[in-house]
Amino acid sequence: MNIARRMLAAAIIAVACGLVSSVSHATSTTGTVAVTATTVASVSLTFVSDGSGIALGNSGTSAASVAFGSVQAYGGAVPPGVTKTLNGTTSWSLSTPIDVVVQVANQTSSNYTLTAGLQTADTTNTWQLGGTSLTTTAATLTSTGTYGSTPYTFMLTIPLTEAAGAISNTINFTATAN
Amino acid sequence: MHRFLLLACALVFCCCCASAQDELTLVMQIDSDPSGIVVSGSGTETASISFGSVRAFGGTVPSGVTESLGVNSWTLNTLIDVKVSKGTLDVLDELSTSYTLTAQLETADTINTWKWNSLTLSTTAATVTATGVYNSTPSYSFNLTVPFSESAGSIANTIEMTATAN
Repeated sequence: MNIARRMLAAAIIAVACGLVSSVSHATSTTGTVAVTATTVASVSLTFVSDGSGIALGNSGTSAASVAFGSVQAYGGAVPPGVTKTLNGTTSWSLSTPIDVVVQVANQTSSNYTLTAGLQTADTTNTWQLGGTSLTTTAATLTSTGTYGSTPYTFMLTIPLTEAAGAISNTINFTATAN
Repeated sequence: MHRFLLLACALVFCCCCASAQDELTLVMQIDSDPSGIVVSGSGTETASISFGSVRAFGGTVPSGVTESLGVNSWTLNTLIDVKVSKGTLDVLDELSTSYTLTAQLETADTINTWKWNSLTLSTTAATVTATGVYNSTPSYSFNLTVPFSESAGSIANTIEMTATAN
């Protein structure tokens, strides 16, 4: 009996020690997550429908499209935001503003240079952006562009002598941070 | 004589018990989330993630990372799992039914924004949860937001987490 009591006493002491030990060390743990990243400077060029212009396909992206639909020099209708002009007896033009949005990230740059060129040569029609005629050689639209949204008037001039039919081309833009 | 012997045995047992508790108390384990970035050191309490070379516009991000653009900044987001277990021999921990998890940055960062489950981190510990469930593996959303105006270069910091038994 004495031995049993003594063993019980020892067990109680042991448990007490365990409790004391538990209290003596913090019941907490820690962990860490080290995070690394290397940021690289970048420039964004997107096209957005102008409030006064034609509705762009894929507005807000860097690959937008403009569809004038079926149009004619005399009579007919043009899409909202498109202006049609008759240039005497030689040609007629369709014009619309397009917003070009250029943003810069993680680079010290006060302005940008914007160039544009036709993807495919067109010796019949005249393609203009902001008054600059476009060819397959990139032309500088501005060398001091202000970051943000800038409207450019796009104009397509079609000779009255040209046969009716589809006209299509792509304008390639490049924005470079200065 | 017998009393001294019993006391000695009890003390030896206490020491062994205490030693075991030191190893078997709360344990934190940081894991890769199936939908998140690969965590280096996954399964341990000392993990790391590397977003590599990233940019606001264009480029690519590692698998399990999403990038979003804001008006003046861009954000990298991923998921990381944190599991907290308790020791089986620790009396107090055994009585605990939940834990509190706090997180903080090791180094102050006044340029970038670091978020852990929408909680903006600073060098002061903030409570991520006060009701953490033991042995579960909740995923935490980690966001790093970089201003456009920041110069390109290296970004590094360490998120320190502490789990405390309630």
